[in-house]
Amino acid sequence: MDSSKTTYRPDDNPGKFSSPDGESGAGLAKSPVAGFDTPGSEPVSTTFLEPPPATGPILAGYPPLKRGISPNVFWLILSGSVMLVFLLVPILALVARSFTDGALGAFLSAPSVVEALQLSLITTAITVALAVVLGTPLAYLLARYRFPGYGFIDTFLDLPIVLPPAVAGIALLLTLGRRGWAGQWLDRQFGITIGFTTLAVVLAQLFVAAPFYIKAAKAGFESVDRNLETIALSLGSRSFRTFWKITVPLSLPALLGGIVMTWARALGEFGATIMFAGSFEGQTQTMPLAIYASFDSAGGLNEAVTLSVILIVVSFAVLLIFKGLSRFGTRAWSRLEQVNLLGKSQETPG
Amino acid sequence: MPEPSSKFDADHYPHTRPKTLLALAIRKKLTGFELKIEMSLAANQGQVLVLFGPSGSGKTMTLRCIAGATDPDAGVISIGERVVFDSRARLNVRLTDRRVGYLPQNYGLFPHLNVTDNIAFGLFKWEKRRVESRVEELVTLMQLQGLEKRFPRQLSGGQQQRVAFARALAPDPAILLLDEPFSALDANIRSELRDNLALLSRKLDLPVVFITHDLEEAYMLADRIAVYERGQVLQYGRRDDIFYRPATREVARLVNIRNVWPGQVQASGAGGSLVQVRTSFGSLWASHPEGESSLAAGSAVTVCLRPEQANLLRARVSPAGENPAGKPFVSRFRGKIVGEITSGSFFTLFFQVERGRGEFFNLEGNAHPGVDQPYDIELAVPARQYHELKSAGSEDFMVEIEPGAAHLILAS
Repeated sequence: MDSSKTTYRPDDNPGKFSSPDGESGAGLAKSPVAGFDTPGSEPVSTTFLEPPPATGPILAGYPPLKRGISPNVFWLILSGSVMLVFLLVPILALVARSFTDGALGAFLSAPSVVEALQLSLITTAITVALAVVLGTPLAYLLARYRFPGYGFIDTFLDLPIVLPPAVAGIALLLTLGRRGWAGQWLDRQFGITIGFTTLAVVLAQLFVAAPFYIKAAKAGFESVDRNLETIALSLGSRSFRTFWKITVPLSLPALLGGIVMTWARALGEFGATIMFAGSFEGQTQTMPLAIYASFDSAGGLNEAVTLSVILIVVSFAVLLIFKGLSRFGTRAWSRLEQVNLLGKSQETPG
Repeated sequence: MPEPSSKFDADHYPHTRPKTLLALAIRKKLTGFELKIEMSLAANQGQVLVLFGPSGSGKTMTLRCIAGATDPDAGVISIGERVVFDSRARLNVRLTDRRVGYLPQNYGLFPHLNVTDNIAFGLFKWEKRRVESRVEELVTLMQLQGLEKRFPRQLSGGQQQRVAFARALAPDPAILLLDEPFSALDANIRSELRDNLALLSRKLDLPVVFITHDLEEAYMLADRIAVYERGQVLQYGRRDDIFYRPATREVARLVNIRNVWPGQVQASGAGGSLVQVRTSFGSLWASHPEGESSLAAGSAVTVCLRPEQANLLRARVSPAGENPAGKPFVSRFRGKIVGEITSGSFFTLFFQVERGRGEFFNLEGNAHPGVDQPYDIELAVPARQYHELKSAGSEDFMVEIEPGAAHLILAS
């Protein structure tokens, strides 16, 4: 077929442009040939027609399609709002209450409040650090290798997530408490007591929260193409460098997600902590414990409100930061690494 | 490609034995699959070794064994003169230390690193200035100028592949291992990159092991071809031997030799170098297989002929089967074309040889879904030539087969 002079035969194409009853739109109905006629253009033959130009006067006759909210989206928004309101209103009520009673100002600098906040932030930071340091190798092992008992271990890691924290508290007491089988030995051999110390707070949090990181990191490592690691190795990069330069940056969003989950779980930890570490001000009384303690004491409601609001603000800020980090994390990481790479190569000339 | 001249050996390798580029004899067993291969490539045999075969035949596993990404159960692998795996000596050089440029199927560019950092990844022990100049050199070689700061997802398939090449070449590997590097690309970009690779492997003076299941690609790039099936190398040898002189019927099938005719030896001619074979549609002359003792009359053989190796002519007055003057041993068959398929530049024609009275059609396995009549010979003819022949009008054609084109496989 000669492509330079293709002819367009409208009869062959009785598609969406034809208006058999002549009622659909005045501009369309006027044209004998199915809509490719604009006001002011020359009348065209009904048998053969030049193909419509890609741009030109035809397009001017078509206004943009108006898109309103479809019924589906409307119902989605409506039903979604119910959930959102339920989640949001109590928080807002709490924050509002703290302002109206002037409780916030009064207790903000109270030593017990500051102590509880400090303790919470420090213990959760240590917990997260321990979870990352000790959890990462396990997560990588589970992501890359299959071995007998794999399913058993994998399920076992879910257990602390499912179990009530009180169970974790009892389990820890029986193990590391002063009369627990390992704690007894530590006490006798070294005079070390773990129960009801700040260390116990960290251990309780770690026990309950670490699986969140391990699970997320495992999923993150699994999502990294093994071929990339193989290639990095074949380029002479040893295992650790390969892990650090390839695996970690590529699974960074998952790792950060895991860290946030672990931190959040550790921050909210109550049951295991109170059983295994008790609630001693300045020593083991973290924010959730302090909130409960003041709520439980006479006239302590305002203090409980203050502590709660502080916890809300801190949590919200940390979550926002981590969300931002995981969004830009991988790219930021590689930029950071670039600097690192150049710095390092100067130190060790090959 | 011609084999490198002996001068090449004499100049660079004064030893009597040519330098080995790659040698392997490995065995690896998986459930339901066993890889068992032996082959070697010497410097005077060319640089590009192609592993050819259907998917699941063990090509990738072989490549991974050479790279060190997978360990064979037993055997020995040497890259150049360096033994990297020897199960008897309990030697297994780690992937990290094998100095291989390994490119898996999807290139495996690091998505979080830009072009420069991808290329420089293997140069972490180098001085900064050397890294920069090496990267620049490779960027120029691979024509990646202006793309240095781009990330892999911002590159086209062809560009990605060139980056992957540059990255593999950067630390100066001893061998390049490529797993179907062109499989994910468009046809036009494929051919361009194939040309580039063919040039590159000569230019870099680097042995290349290349996996493909594309026959054309294999032929274009290979010096040596290993034909794989079910974990075995069915035939290993020079490109043209594989292509025109398959050792077995399986190889003939895998390298897409469309005409495979069972036959019986009738006589020999030209001092024993040619053999006359009787097939279902008539007798033809074929070359005597190299290195075989002379074939006795009556022995069963298989004749192989690539479709493009037969000539299509207009039928002349001279009767079929009669040799024209000056062309002894050229077999001619008169008949008609019963089907044609075209890809544009070539026509695949299905030719039915005219039978004498009382002769029957006895066609074993010669059937094509696009052709409703039985046929004897499949031909590939350039479109222009076919149009010219056809314009003469008559339906009668003649197929001419030179004895050199017809290859014999002995039925074992």
